[in-house]
Amino acid sequence: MKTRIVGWVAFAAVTLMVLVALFVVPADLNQGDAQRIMYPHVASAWLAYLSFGVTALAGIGWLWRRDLRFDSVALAGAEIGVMFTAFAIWGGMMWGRPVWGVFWQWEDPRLTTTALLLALYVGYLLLRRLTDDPDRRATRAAIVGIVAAVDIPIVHFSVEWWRGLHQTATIGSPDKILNPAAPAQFVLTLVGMVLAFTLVWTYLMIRRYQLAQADLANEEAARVDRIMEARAVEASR
Amino acid sequence: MTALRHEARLALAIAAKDARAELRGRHALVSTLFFAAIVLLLFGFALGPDRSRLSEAAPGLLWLALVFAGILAVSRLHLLETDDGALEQLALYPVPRRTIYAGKALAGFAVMGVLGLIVLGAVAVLFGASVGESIVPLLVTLLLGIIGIAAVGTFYAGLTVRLPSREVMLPLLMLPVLAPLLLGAVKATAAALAGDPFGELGAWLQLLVAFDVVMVTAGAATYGYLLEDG
Amino acid sequence: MTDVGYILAAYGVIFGGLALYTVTLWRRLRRR
Repeated sequence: MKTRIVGWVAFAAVTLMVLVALFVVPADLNQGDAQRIMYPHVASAWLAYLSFGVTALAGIGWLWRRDLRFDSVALAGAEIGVMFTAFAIWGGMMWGRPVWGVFWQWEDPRLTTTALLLALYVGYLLLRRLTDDPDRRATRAAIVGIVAAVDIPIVHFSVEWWRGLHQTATIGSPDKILNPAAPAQFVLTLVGMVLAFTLVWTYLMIRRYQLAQADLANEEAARVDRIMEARAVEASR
Repeated sequence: MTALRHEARLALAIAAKDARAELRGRHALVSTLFFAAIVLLLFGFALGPDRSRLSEAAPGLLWLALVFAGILAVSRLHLLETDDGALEQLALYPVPRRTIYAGKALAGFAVMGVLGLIVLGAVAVLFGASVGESIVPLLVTLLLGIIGIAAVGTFYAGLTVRLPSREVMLPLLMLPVLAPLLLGAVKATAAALAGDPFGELGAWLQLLVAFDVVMVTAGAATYGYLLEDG
Repeated sequence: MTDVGYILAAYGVIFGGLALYTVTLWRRLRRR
């Protein structure tokens, strides 16, 4: 199966990139070895945002076409997105402590926005659990997903403004390796890590989508069973 | 009568209906007022008695109190409907969904407007904020902030009203979305109170306007789906 | 904690978490 191939290629890619990030690429002059954390951190953040974009778009797809497959995609995106968001935050904190001296900095727009992203999508997942009817669940989730997606750029800009007004010069900036002027080895490692993560993401999305579809089928079967039972009870009266 | 004016009149009629029910039963306004007062008192206990620390925190406390009270207000306004199935009946009329949304949001805005003015006064008194000189920018900030809370709150209240554990789901869904509004409103209030020493007031107000426009549009566009399927 | 500790904590949680999630998905899919 093609998916299985994707999975193993992804695994190989990630293994390779982890080895490169930890042992091959040199440490940063200012941030030291802690800078190695940036590679999976940035990759996770990128996939977190990608996932939620997918969820929002899939929600629109459901509202437009009323095909539950869109909703399965949305669910996969949200669950996987929450995971990568948590990784991004954790990575950011583990990087922050050695480089900034603190685990958290309110004015870092990426960290704060990502925290809010986590809150928004945990809410999304909790909301889904409260509805049994697949169509209603899909609609409710779609609306919440869209409003959340629309909120995220606003959050990002507001926190950037917040930081801009304080002019704190931080010794270590996570932006550093995103700068195209950074040394080629860093950039290449980062790109490699992002690509490897994206392969993993693709594999996980496919599998989670398949699981969601299977769950839907089971739900439907259970519903049909209950109706048959009820009818049988009625008939025996 | 143009279609737009017709819609506006409908929205006002819906808002007026809620407002009348408010005045008769006084559900949302009075209980939310007392809630806000208690919240402010507790803030005083938690952060006081140092006068200067309290007055520094005043803008944040003002908006926290308004946000929390706003959650109560919008949820009570939607509660009015479901108790007698009025929301379902409203959904049956050939009224554009965004008009229903506008009406309910207006009602929420009205309740919170009254609330906002009173809480502003209370904060000025309790936490020593000198409201007098900067009253115009303060009122503008209040207006823009409350529009945002009402817009977002009405939307989520409509979404969660028929859900189990709605008391927890409403704030859980609403509060993260309100984060940029909270930031903008607090910063604008603080800037206004200080006489805008860094010239940042304009930027924050712009943020509030952008937030309001986006959220009102999103709310109006999706409220229909909420009514039909939710 | 030296830098190495933070690096281990970061990589450990992220890649450990990915592995855990993948295995969980496999098991849930097998049961269907």
